[in-house]
Amino acid sequence: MEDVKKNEGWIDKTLPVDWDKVKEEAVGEILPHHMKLWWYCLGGVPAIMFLILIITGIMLAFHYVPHPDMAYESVVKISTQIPYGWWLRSIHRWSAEIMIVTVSLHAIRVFATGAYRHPRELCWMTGAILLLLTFGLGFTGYSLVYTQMSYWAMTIGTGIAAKTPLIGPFLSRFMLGGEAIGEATLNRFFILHAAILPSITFFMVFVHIVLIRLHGVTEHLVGIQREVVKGLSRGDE
Amino acid sequence: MNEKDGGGTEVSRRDFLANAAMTVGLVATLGTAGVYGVRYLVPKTKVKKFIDVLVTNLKELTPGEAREFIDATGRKGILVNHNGNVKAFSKICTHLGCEVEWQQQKKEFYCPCHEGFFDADGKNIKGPPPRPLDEFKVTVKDDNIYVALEEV
Repeated sequence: MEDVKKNEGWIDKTLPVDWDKVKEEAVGEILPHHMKLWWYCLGGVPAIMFLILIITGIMLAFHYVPHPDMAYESVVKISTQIPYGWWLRSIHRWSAEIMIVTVSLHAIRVFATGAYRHPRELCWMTGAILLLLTFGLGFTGYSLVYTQMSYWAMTIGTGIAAKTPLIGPFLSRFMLGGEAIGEATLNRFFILHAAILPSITFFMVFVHIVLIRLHGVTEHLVGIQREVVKGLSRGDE
Repeated sequence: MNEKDGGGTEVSRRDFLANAAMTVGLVATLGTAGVYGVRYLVPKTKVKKFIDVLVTNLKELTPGEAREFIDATGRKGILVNHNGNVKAFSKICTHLGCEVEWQQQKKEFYCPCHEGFFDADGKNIKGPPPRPLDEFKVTVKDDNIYVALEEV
């Protein structure tokens, strides 16, 4: 007991953080009743999936080779030869799938209940950017496997970009790193998928969550009686 | 835990069981993930070792004849005496992994799945197979035929 007490004192002195306050800030939020319906909390699912994707993505990057001759081979090797590679890759793939589905459902829910209205415009805007980033991550990740499907997804994706007015051809060339899919394309997609897009997404998720905490949860627009909305309850009960 | 039951030192049975279940679940999940993660990252250090295994002898394997064998891990191979020259190959077709057959008349290996052919030296000569059959090292000593198989 003496030791433990000394230890606690040392931690408190070297890391002067009021943990009770941190806990209160992190999980003690006051929530309206309707937040106990799971479809109002769809935003949390993609956030958790994103964390899982970061961890498994870093793991997969240890064995993935972004080169046209090696990309598919290395993916096959991860799935068939490296211990538990299949496990990590499956988690990465299904988390990505769940993230895209739940992000879309979250956007639909926010739109349908009018939760974007004043003063939460910024939250909606960052959310819209996050939706696009999620699709971008899905597209680049799908391309990295470098199967026939990936190849044609890349072709179609860059083809769509090429149809943008004025800057289209430049955009397409920039994405491909040349005139056609090749070594440079795979490198670009890999850097986008594993470095640039996740960094922006991480930052945006942070801003999105800070904005939610600053504004609190939206009051229900219609359909729920005032009493129910006013009857607040602690989030941890 | 609960302010009501006296100063936060006592933990109710319900809370204790809930926390215990949560802890066990988290330790099991994260522990498994951690072990898998480490095993995923640790490079293979095992060097493949081969040992000569007696499979048959030259009296039983006369020229033109073939004989199947199975190694300790269950993988199938085939020994062929082609004009006194004994060779051993994996039975697994290099295209999509079907089993090849030795055709004594034509002196060829035939894969029935996609019409793939290999000659008596295991070389891919017709059909979709992209590379020759995998070969085992064969030693003939005192008419006995030994095949070098991977040690398990």
